[in-house]
Amino acid sequence: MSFLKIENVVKRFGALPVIKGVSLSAEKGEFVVFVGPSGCGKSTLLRLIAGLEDVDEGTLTIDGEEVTHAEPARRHVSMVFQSYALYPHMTVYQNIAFGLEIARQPKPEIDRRVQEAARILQIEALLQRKPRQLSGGQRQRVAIGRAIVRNPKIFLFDEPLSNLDAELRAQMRVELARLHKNLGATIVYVTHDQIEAMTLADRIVVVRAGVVEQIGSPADLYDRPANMFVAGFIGSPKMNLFQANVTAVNAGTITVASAVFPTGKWEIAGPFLRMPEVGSTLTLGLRPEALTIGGGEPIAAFSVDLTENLGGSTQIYGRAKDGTNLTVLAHQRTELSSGDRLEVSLGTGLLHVFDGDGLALRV
Amino acid sequence: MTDRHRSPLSGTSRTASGTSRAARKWREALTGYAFVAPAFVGFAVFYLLPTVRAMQISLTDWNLLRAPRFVGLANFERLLHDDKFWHSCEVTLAYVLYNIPLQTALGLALAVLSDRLARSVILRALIISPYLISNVVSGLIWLFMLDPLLGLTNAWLVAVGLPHQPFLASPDQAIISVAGISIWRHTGLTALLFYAGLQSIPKHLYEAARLEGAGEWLMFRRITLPLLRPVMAFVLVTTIIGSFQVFDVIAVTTSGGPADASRVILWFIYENAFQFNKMGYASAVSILLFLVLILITLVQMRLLRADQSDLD
Repeated sequence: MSFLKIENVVKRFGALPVIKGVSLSAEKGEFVVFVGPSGCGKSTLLRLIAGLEDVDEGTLTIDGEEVTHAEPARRHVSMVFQSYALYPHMTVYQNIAFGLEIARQPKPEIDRRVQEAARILQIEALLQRKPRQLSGGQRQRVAIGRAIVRNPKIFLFDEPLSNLDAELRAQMRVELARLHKNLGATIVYVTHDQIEAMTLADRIVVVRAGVVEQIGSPADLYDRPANMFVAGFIGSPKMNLFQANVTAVNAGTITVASAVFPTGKWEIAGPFLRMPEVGSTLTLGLRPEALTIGGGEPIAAFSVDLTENLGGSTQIYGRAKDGTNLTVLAHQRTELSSGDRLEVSLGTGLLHVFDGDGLALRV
Repeated sequence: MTDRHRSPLSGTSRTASGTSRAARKWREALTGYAFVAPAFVGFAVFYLLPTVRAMQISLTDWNLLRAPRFVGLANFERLLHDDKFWHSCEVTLAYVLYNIPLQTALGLALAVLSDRLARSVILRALIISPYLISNVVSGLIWLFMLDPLLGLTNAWLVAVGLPHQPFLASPDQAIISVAGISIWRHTGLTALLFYAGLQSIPKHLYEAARLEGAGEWLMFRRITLPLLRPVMAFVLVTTIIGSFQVFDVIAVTTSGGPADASRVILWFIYENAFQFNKMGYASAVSILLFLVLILITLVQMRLLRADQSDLD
């Protein structure tokens, strides 16, 4: 049985449904990341697990116990807030010890656990400081310390790194991954940053408008997006998506036509989940980093608009004959100028195929 | 252009820009003073000059008819041996002690309840409404309400089987009744100030505490109260100063009676100044009250660390 189980959960704010029948589960020790654009309901989903919002429909189970309408404290979860939510009038020690004091733990036990958490997070020297005397990264550690000291069943993280600068965010990301490994904790983590999602998660839950679009491992989501939304959302730079018409359907292959292809058409081999009809319009997807300049049969031809030198790589923006925008991430520096014509091949990358409803057609 | 060619020019422009910067600073300062001037003139005319004048008068014997006669610190010396003055101090202190703790506690409770439960604009408007009535009018309303024979309050007491109370007509109950009127009138304002203070406490602190198992009372004690400290300091300083200066309700309801039971310091000053024409003596009491209030305020602000907030 799953450690955390959410079944058909619905949440409405007034008449407005923000979570529309979400079901998902997490195993003990798993790192699950909710990712999605702003306002998609991922934080609300986390708050429903915490008990900070009431569930309108559905059930929520933690460690075999139904907690759908249980008080937050009875769920034995800890949460790290985006703003850290440290008590500003208490010292770091008091902040970490607060939950243990409420649980009426003996003083020596509180001290032992606070010191242990401080040691793990390397904040022993900060214990007598107030939150305002700490940097963003230090506050973040204290917030995590407050979470781990209670030894919760599940850690909930609500965009915990979004207030940090890029360098600190990368550093804290590594530390969080290490912490997860060392503690073996079950973590549910909310972010809108797909790099955090890809690097930290055992499984990613992609949420859009209160609905789960896909659940899977980072590699799954990247290689086999279930629909166009996931395809566009996961990966940076974004996947190139363009339309093509089905001109022929044979056993196991389809032929499509688009001005993006140098020859005007392309044959795609299966296996397919469903065979499209001749004359139907499909959306095809090519990841910018999967495209290679030269080397093999060209899949796309376009004229260069702009290049961005990223040091070790170059991002090339261009336009196909029919005006379709294309992006290529070349793993080398290039000497291209605006107006240059360029052909790229697929190499070992995948061509993603979506039907008229935006659902993936290819396995 | 070479450096050799540019240097005389740049020297000139540096001087010119220096002059214009000074001129701009001067203009800016003048504008600032112009904005502050109306408030300063008001403060000087209505507060500063009367205070200085009261200090002068406190050193004289002056009955408004003869010219003031300098008597040095004689008025202050006389104060120390004046039983009526000490009695008025006791009455004032009793009024402050009846008024402030209850008003503060009620205001805080109303603010917390409306923040945690209701958050209704209509409720807040209702709570503040007594404050919108002037002191004199609220004094008159309660004079009728608390009338020993015809007052509505006694009718209610009798209706629930309790005995008649003399309220303002009793030496034992007069100052408590006046404090009750003040609490009725001012609690709404106190509640509104606390409510504003509560809005500055981030809501996620309560969420974090709830996750850690804290109940409402614990959250109030360990989060709300410590973080309201600067507002608490403001409320206590202003209400305590206001309480020491209670006058108009006394003037309307008891005139310092019965049997001097509600003769507060300000009423004592008023009697001496305008009924007994002892302007020097009345000014000496005013100055003493002024100094005592400054002292109380400084101590309070120090104890409550009023200038420091834990919130970012």
